[in-house]
Amino acid sequence: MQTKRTIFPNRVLPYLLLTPQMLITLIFFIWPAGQAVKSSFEREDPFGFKTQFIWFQNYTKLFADPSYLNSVGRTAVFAVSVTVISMSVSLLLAIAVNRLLRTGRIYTTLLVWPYAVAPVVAGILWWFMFNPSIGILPYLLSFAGIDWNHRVNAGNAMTLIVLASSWKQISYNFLFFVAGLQSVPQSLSEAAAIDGAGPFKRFWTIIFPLLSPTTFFLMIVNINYAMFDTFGTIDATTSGGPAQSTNILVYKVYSDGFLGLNIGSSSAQSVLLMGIVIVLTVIQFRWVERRVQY
Amino acid sequence: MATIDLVDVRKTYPGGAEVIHGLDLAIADGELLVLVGPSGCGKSTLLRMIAGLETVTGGTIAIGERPVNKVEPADRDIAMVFQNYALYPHMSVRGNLEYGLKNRNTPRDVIDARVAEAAEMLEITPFLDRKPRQLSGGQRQRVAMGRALVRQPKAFLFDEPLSNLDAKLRGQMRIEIKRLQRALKTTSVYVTHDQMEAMTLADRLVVMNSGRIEQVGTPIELYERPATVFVAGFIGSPPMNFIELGAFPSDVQSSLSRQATGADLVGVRPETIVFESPDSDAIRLECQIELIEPVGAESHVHVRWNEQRLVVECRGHPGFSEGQTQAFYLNPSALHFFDQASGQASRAAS
Ligand SMILES: Nc1ncnc2c1ncn2[C@@H]1O[C@H](COP(=O)(O)OP(=O)(O)OP(=O)(O)O)[C@@H](O)[C@H]1O
Ligand SMILES: [Mg+2]
Repeated sequence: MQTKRTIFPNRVLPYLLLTPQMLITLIFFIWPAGQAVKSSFEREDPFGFKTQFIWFQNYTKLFADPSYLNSVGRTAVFAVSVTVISMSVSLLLAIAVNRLLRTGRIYTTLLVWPYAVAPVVAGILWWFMFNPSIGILPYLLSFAGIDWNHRVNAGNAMTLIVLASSWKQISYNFLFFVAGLQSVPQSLSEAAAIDGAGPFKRFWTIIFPLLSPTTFFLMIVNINYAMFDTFGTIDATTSGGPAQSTNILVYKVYSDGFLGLNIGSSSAQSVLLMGIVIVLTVIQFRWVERRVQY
Repeated sequence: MATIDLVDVRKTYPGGAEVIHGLDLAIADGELLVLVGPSGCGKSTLLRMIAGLETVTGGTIAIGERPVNKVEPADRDIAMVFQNYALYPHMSVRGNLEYGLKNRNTPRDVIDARVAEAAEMLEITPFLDRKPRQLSGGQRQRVAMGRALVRQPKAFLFDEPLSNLDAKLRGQMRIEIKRLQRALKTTSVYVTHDQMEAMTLADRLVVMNSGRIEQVGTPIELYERPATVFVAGFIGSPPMNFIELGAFPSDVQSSLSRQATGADLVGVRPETIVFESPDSDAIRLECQIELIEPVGAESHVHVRWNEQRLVVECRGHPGFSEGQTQAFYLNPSALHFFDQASGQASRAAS
């Protein structure tokens, strides 16, 4: 990677310029993270009067807790579904737009809108559409014999948050896929066509492999998104219910800590999540550095 | 092995003007036909229509007597070598060579035999397991050729396959392509804008100009008897000198008019102008030497005669100095005559 070097005549100036960013990072990221690590080793009584250092007890208790393990499972289902759905839908859209680039501009603009919608707003939007009493979709589904109620049906609830979260992420994936598709030279497709490959074969044997760096990058980003950025969507639609069925890890940190007031366990959970983010980020950077290698 | 026949072929790009205007061309079986012309004249468009990569908006294209206007590129049984080679970057050289055969469900042993044979012929056997990015430009070019060879198609189509190589390698590959084509006797259409490449490769040469054919013929025919001013100026290096008939003294004018009636433009190849006085009927031009370009075995001497700039090609180094006055002679029997209004050559009146 190329970087631009600037030489500062004043030795203090660079540090001064860095200070605001460093302060923000310290106050809003490092310090809370340190606090979380610290309180994950402590037990606090419900009124916050006494804290007690208890080593790894919060962690061992977590792994013995069926509701936590349940949440891990739900998160896996949720993250995989969101990643697969949002990536495949956006790839399909990108292919369609790539075929008609002249008119593609308009579609691109339309398709990018959902990305600008705040998660909570997106959640409320979907919550309205799927609202069992006033929503349009349960009404339509009832004609197909489906009795939709995400307030009582765990499957319905999971479907709802998967749809709402995927929808929001499609725009982002779409932009990357369009850029990726456009960087595959047209002549490769043409050569493959002359070499006797039909459109499907051309896609799977030439274009998709050449798109793999983009696909991998997006996969990591999407997993990250599904696990951490969907809090607002879930909070506005199901709030983790019914019966914990949509209580994914990031939501559980909040519900255990702020609603259940179990700061120790909540901190331990957030430390574990932090670990996952770090691992994903490392993988991503590793890959981005050597991604032009076919 | 096949003929390729184009009858009144036209092309209009969507939302654009017509770029190929009713073109007729019959390519014989086993022939190496070269399409040459200035940039933007429609060479690639024509080749891509033969390949099936562009739709034909008028007329018919037939390969081996079968009309192929509506046939997919895959089913035309042709192979194409692209200017940028279009090698599949994620496949090894072997993978690149095999791809077309695998798609056609060729048996494994046939694939292996064909790949080995092609690799041998093009001397790329040592690189079979490398990826295209690990090859030099020349090696990539060979792989691109190999990918066309292994298929044993009815026809090869080349779109400026050598233009990304340096001059020396281009010369080598040119000879190699000609040798391969002679050995395989596969009908080939070769697009280039390099007239040297065109002259040396072609069995027959097609000179195109803004979507039309100017002239078809062997390279020597085109050189010796250009049918239009455009062809005369395009074929040959340095290009032909053009002098308006009216620029000559009246006695020369009248004797030239007897050679070709109605002509008003005279073409002179630089290599036919001499400075030692030849036989008596030569036309003498008193010229001022402006610039001398030595190019190895010959020199290009840029001179001025009255208001007219001319180029003279002299063998060796004639020892002129820039600025000097020198007499040059035109051989009347080596002149070309054209009609400026129509751009056509005037038939000799003899
Ligand atoms: N996809 C396209 N859409 C519209 N016009 C096109 C398209 N491709 C080519 N043209 C036009 O058709 C004409 C012929 O183009 P073509 O590529 O065949 O030229 P060429 O003879 O191969 O030139 P070069 O030697 O520069 O490759 C040009 O005027 C070009 O602008
Ligand atoms: Mg071209």
